[in-house]
Amino acid sequence: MTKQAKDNKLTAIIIGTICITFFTMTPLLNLINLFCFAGVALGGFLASIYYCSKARQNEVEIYIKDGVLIGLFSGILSSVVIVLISMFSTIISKTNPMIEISEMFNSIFKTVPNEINNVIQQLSDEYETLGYSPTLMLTMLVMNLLIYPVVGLVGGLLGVVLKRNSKKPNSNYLNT
Amino acid sequence: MDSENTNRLLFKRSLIIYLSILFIALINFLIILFAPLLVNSSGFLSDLGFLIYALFSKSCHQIKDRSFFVFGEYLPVCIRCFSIYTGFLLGSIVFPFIRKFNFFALPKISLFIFSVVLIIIDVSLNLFGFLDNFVISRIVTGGFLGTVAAFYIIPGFVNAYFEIFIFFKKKKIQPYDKTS
Repeated sequence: MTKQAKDNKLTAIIIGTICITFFTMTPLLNLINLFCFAGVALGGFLASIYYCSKARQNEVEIYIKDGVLIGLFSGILSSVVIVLISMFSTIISKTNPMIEISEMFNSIFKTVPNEINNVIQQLSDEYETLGYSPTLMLTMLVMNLLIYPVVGLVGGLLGVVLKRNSKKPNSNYLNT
Repeated sequence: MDSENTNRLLFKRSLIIYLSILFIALINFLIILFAPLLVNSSGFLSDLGFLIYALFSKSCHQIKDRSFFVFGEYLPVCIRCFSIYTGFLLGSIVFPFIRKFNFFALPKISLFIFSVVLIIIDVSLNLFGFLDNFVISRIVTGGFLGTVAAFYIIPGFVNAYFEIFIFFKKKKIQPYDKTS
């Protein structure tokens, strides 16, 4: 792999991370994620489209695996960045989101078990004392790391698949 | 290795990847469908149900008026999202029969763009009040997008797997080639 190709992949991952973070953190725009994480998929998609256009410019062959890896790493990196931004924003703004979450649970379900209310209360106490909740941040990081790379990967895959767009099966596999 | 054996190996591995995707789609569908049942049960199962709702709250608005009511509770996703997941499952089931067990071929770009445009039109009409709470349009557009997505995602994963496989195989062979 040439240095140029490596640089293009790294740039694509950074672009994907910025796009996913932007779509997830911007108020109103983050509503796009309520549509099956469309914002995360779009970030991976745009990153892989960028990579494909650069690869074409440099006459480098486009592989589906590159799109998959770009989407995957964009998802991993963005999930870490998003948690860090969320942590700092809650510390600075001194808000307690657990109050809203408690109200949301009460509006959705007829009865909320005491265990759930206790957990919400514990997290709320963490917000009151530390300004942020380490437990919630860790949970958020784990959940993001489970979801974002997978969705980013699908976005990256679709981007490179659409750019390549071939009806013929890849005969390269038969020669190996 | 002769061509026939290689083809058989390719088909076998492609089938494993396809079945894995089908299994994930099926599990996802069942989790969504039975989440209300879990929430209404007691103990650990109830907690699991709440966890499912919390997980899907990140990917769906979960508005009651826009969700199916099953087993005494609303589904953890809205009708459109449920249609996309169901469409993906159906697309995964019919994929080998429509594509005649060719796991590598990718459909034309226009099909995916058409399904996305269709859903954007439906969302826009809904957002600007031209089409108020029209369930059928959500089921049709969501289901169509999900089904179409399966025809890109399955061959995409199969192609990606073989490209990664070849990449590592070449890497393994390279040092030997240099010394020989």
